Amino acid sequence: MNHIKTHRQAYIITILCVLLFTTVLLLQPFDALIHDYWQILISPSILLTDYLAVGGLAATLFNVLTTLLFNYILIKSLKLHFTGPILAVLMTIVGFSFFGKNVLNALPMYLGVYLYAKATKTEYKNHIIVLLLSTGISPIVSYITFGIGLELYIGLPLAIIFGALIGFILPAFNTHALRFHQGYNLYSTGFSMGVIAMVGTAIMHGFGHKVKTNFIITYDYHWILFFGLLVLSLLFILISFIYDKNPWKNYPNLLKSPGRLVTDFYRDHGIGTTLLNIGIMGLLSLVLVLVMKIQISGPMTGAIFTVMGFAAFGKHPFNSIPVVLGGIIAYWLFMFVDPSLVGEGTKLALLFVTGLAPVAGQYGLIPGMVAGFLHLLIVPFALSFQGGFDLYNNGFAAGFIAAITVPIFDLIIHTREVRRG
Amino acid sequence: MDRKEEEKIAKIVGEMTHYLLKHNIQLFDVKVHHHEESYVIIFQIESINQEILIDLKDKMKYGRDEEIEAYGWTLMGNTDLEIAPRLLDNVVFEQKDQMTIIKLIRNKHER
Repeated sequence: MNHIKTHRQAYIITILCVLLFTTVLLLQPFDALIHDYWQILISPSILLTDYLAVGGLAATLFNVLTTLLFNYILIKSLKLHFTGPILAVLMTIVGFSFFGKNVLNALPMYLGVYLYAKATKTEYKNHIIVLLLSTGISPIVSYITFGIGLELYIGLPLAIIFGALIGFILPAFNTHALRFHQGYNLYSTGFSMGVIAMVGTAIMHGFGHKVKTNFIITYDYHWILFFGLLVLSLLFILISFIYDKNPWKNYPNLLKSPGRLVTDFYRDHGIGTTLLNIGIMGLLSLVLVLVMKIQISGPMTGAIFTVMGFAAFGKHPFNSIPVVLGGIIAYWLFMFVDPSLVGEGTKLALLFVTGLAPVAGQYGLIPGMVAGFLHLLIVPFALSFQGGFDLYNNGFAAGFIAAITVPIFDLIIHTREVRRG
Repeated sequence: MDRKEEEKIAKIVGEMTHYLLKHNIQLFDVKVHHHEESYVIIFQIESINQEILIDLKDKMKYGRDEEIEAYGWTLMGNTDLEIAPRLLDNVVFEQKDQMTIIKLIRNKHER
C-alpha cells in the first residue's frame, strides 16, 4: 500500500505543530489563552458555533493544535500509515476544530467505536476512518453536558453514554448507509450521523426539550485566514515538488478519475500528485471566496480545509467545478427571489457541495450542475431535521441528493447507450 | 462460513464478474475453495486480451487494506474493481495454453 514515509510524515506534523504553538503564544499570554480555550471546551458547540467568536484566534488555533495532535498520536499509536482517506479525515478534523470539535467532546464517540470493535472482535484500527469522522457529531456531547441546563454530575455521564452509544452504532450503520447513495456522496459518514442526529433530536423533542441551533459567528479574521489558507495551499504545492520531481506527470490521470468512494489518490496516483491536487483545490476554494465575495469565518475555514483534505480522497477540479457551478446558480436564484434566504449555511454549501463531486465525475457536467443546484436547496432543511448536532450537515443533505439523482442519471445514460446499440 | 464473510466473498466474485463482462469476456468459470486458513476464489478464463490482463494486474497489485474494507466493503459489486482488490491478501496469475487462471486469495485472519 502506498503511504507517506513515516519520518517525513512526522517531520511535517511536528513542524506544523511547532509553528501553530509558536503563533498561539505570540498572539496571547498563556493564562489568557487557557481561559479562552476553556470557553471553547464548555461551549455547547452546536451548529453554527464559530470558535473564533467564542474564544478568539489564539484559543481556536490552540484547539486546532490539541485536536490535531491528539488524533495524530492516536493514528501513530495504532501503527497506521497516512493514506488518502486518513489524510482527508485528518484535515477535516483540523477544519472542524474551528467550529464544533474539540478534544473533550470527541472522546465518548471514540469510546463507542472501541466498544464496537471489542463486541465484533475486530481491530480498533480497522475502523479508523469512521472513528476519526465520528467526531462530526461531537456537539451532541457538548450540548447535553453544557447546553440543556443539567447539573454537571447528571449532564456529563448522560453525554458520555449518549456519545458512546452513537460511536457504537456508527461503524455498522455507516457501511449500510453507503448503499443508500452508492458512494456518490464523499461525506458518507456525515449522512449516517445526520440520520442518527435526527433520531437524537426527535428523542429530545419527545422528552419536551426543543433543540435550538446556534448562530455565533465572526468575520474579524477574514484576511488572516485568507492569507493563512493561501500560504498553506502554496506550501502543499511546494511540498509536492519535494516528494515528486514532476507531480504534473500523473495529474491528467487523476483528473480522469470519477472520484467515487473509496478512491484513494495516494494509492492510485502517488504522493506528489495528490499533494499538488490538495494545493490546487485550496487555491480554487480561495478563488471562489473572492469571486462570490464571501467573508471567511471559522466554519468557512473548516469548509476549505475539508475541500483540501478530500482532494486526497476523490475531489479534483474537473469533478468539483460542475457541482459548484450548480450551487452558484441556486445561490443567484436565492438572491433574485429573496436575498434573506442567503445565509452563512448557503455560503458554506457552495464549498461543501463538492461532496457530490463523484456525480459530476461519473455522469458529466450537466448532471453535476443539477446535483449541485439541488444540494443548495436542501441544505437548510437538512439542518432543521438533524437539529444541528451533525457538523457534517452538508454530508447529510448530499446523501439524499445522491440517492435521488444517481438512479435518474444512470437510467438516462443507460437508455442512451441502449438506443445507440 | 460467517455470514459477513459469505457476503464479502459473493461481492468479490460479483465485482470481478462485472469487470470481465464489461470487457466482453463471457467464457469463464468460477470456483470458491474454503481452506482452513483462507478462501481461494479461482477464475478460469478461456481467452483474455493482453491489454485487459495488464489492466487487471494493475488493479490487483495493491494488497489488503483493512481500513477501507471496514469502511466501504458494502459498495463492492458495481465498482470497477476499486474495492475487491483491497479485500485480498494475494492474487496469483497463471497461464495454461489459452486459459488464464486467476486465484484471488483472502486469508481468514487479519494481517
